[in-house]
Parts: sequence; structure tokens; C-alpha cells
Amino acid sequence: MFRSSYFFFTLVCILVPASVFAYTSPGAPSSYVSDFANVITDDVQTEIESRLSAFSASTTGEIAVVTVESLDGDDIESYATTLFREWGIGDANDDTGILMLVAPNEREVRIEVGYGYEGAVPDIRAAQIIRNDILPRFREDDISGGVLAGVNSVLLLIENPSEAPALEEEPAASFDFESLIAVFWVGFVLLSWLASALARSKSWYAGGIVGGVVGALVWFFVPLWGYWMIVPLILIGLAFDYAVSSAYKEAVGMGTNPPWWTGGTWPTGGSSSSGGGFGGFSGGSSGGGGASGSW
Amino acid sequence: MKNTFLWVVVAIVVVLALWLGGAYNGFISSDQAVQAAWADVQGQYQRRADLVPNLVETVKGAAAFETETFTAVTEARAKATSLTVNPASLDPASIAAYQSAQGELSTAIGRLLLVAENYPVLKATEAFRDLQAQLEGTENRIAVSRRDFTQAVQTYNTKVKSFPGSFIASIFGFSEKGYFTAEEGADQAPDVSF
Repeated sequence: MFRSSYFFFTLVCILVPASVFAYTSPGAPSSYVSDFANVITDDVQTEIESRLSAFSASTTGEIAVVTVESLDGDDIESYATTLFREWGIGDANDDTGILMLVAPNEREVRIEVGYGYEGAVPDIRAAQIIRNDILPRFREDDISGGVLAGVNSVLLLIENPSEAPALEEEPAASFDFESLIAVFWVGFVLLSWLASALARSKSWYAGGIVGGVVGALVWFFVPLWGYWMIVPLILIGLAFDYAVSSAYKEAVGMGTNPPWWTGGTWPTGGSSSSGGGFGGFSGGSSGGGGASGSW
Repeated sequence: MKNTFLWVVVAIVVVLALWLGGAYNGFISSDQAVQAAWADVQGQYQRRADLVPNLVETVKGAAAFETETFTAVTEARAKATSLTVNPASLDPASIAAYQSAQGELSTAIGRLLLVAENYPVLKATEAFRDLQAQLEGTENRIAVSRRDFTQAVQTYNTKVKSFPGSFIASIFGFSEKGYFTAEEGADQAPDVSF
């Protein structure tokens, strides 16, 4: 009893501090303006909305205005970066996105700039907009006015072509466990399909051809192993063809199918897509550029 | 019966080859992700180092006699920029050395900013404000790039250390990589002695 309660206590000690500073998503974006804290008046929201959708229609850029009830103990910088990436604000290739995040209860504001706009909106400019356009209005409890002034200044800055061009984009390689599972799955499906097809075919050389193709693929994907993999794979392919053909003959002789039989056809699946209205942001990313302020 | 056995052996060999290839590619792409993340970390630290001379000059204009602080920052900057880590060998020891060198520069910059606090006229100038905005933005980029790097390394390390990937990792020479650790007292302002 003592032990389990001690264990529980330790667990609480470990988990509670972690959960206090954990980022909690405010939810999906409803539009360019997501006023979760309900601090922007309807007419200002409509005005910003129409400006930002016009902006997105004429460029690849996307600007999101978000107000949140709480940052859940997180600092506004990391909250903004996490939200920015979660929603994918801006073009997926150019990372042309900007997030204006307001936390009225913490009295903090941040303009988070995506990689693609770091040239057009350098930190100095973002800080100036916060200092000169946003904070004075926020201090007078005019959240709507501050947000509107901030959005206007950001738009002016981006649409003014005298600014420096966008930074170079760096490709990010990614790999996860799911793709390994997928490789497995595809391997198995391919193998049993191959077995079925080869077993049914009367040719004795088809397996060798398949082996050669697999060898070439291995050569292509794992250059380290070299082309010599082709020869053993051709032999394996021939043996494979021979084995499945005999097994098939045996099974047909008994009036059944081999256990791995699929009939030699591909499994098919459907795909669907949806659209209409504000379809979400385009997958842009940010590396923590921009500026913050508090009032 | 014999044929069935042969077929099973062949199937296992083919699946194994496919899996080995997939796992190897997994290590490669994971390793590339870590190297890209590291390049970003070093780039952001370099960006900060590039701001330092300007910052020193600006503060010097208002507080010329704080020579000790200026020397400390300049020395810490020289030390931090001379230390770069080859992306191909991101072992825990070199990451730790890099982190400590950059940490010293952070402390020195912190002291310099604390000195600036004593000069309200300096703090009100546009030049100082701009520098501060750039410095804050850079510090935040460093934080983000460090987080991304640590995440990439943890993904990579998990792959390298867990069975059966560990097996393949040792064959192809993929070893564990180091990442940033939480700094002791990093959340506290540096103390300054006069």
C-alpha cells in the first residue's frame, strides 16, 4: 500500500510539472481570424477577414490572427511557433505565413513570421509594429483597434516591394515508423501477388526477370550494396518461380488454392477529398522569427 | 513439401532484403534530418555572434568605461565562434562542449544588457531598441532550432538504440548522437559585480 502510493506520488511529481507547461491546441482555425478569446468586435473581424482573404487571393501568403483565452503557462514565443506549425500557416514551399497571436489574459502579443517572410518582415519591423501600432491601443483596452492597426502595418510592409527578398528555403527530411510499416505491408502484398502471378504463368524465366528488377531497385535505393545483388536476386527469382509454380500445381491437383493465393490482382482502395469555403492553411512553417511584446 | 520449404526460405530472404533496405534508408533520412537541424542551430548561433560587435559598439557609445564587460563579451564571442561541430560527428561530447561555449556567450551578453539597463538614455535610442529586437528574435530562433534539433536527434537515437534497428545500425556504423540538455540556471538573470 505504502509502495503504490509512493509510486503514485512520484508519478504525479513527474507528470504535473510537465503538464503545466504543455501546449494545448486552441482547436482548428475557423478562418483567417480565429477569435477564441472573444475580444475582437464583429465589424473589425469582418474587415480584417476581407482584407486577409483578398491578400491570400493575390499572393501565396497567409496571415492568421488568433486570440486565445490562455497560454496554459507556456511562453508566447513557443506557443506561437507550435500553433504556427500545427496550422501550417502560409505556403508549404515558400513558408509565407504570419501569425498574430494575442493572449489578452496574459497581456502578451506576438507577431510570428514564417521563414518566407523573414526578409519582408524582419524582427526589427515586427517589433516596431508591436511597439508603435499595437501596444498603445492595447494599453487603452482597444484590442480590436490594435489588431487592425497591426494587420494594416504588416500588409503594408509585405506589399511594399522595396523590402528584401525572401530567404532561401531549406528542405526538411522526415521519416517515421509508419513508413517502415508501410514498406513491410507493401512487401508482403507484393510478394503474395507475385507468388500468385508467377505460379499461374507457364513461363519458367519470369521469376528471374522479377529478381533482376528487384536487384536493380536495390541497387538504386542502396547504392552501397552495388549492382552485384542483381545476380543472386535473379537466381532467387528463378527458384521462387519454380517453388510457387510447383506448389500451385500441387494445390490445383488437390482442388484448392495455395494459402498465399490472392488471384494475382491488386487490392484497390478509394480516396476522397473535400473542399469549399475557408479550406484551412497551406502547410507553411516558422523557425521562431518575429517579435513579442506585453502591455 | 520440399518445395514449400524452399519457397518459405526464399520469401524470408526477399522480405529481409526489403526490410533491410527500408531500415537503412530510414537511418539515412533520419541522419539527414539531424544534420539539417544542426546546420540550422549553428546558423542561428552564428546570427547571434554576428550581432555582438554591433551591440558592443552601441553600448560603448553610452558607457565607454565598462571595459571589463566589453572584453568579456568579445572573448566569449571569439571562443564560441571558433568552436564548430562537424555535422557528421555529432557525438554527445562535442555537443556538450559547443553548448558550454555558447552558454558562456549567453551569460556575457546577459551581463552587457544588464549594464545597458543602467543607461536609460541608451535604452531609449532607436539603435539600441532595434538591436534588442534582433537579439530577442535570434534568441528565440536559437531556442526553436535547438528544440527541433533535439527532437530530430531523439527520433534518430530511438531508431539506433531500439531492437531490431540497433542491429542494422551497428552494421552500417550509425551511432548515438548528442543533444542539448536543459541549462542549469539558464532561466535566471546573470549576476553582475561592480
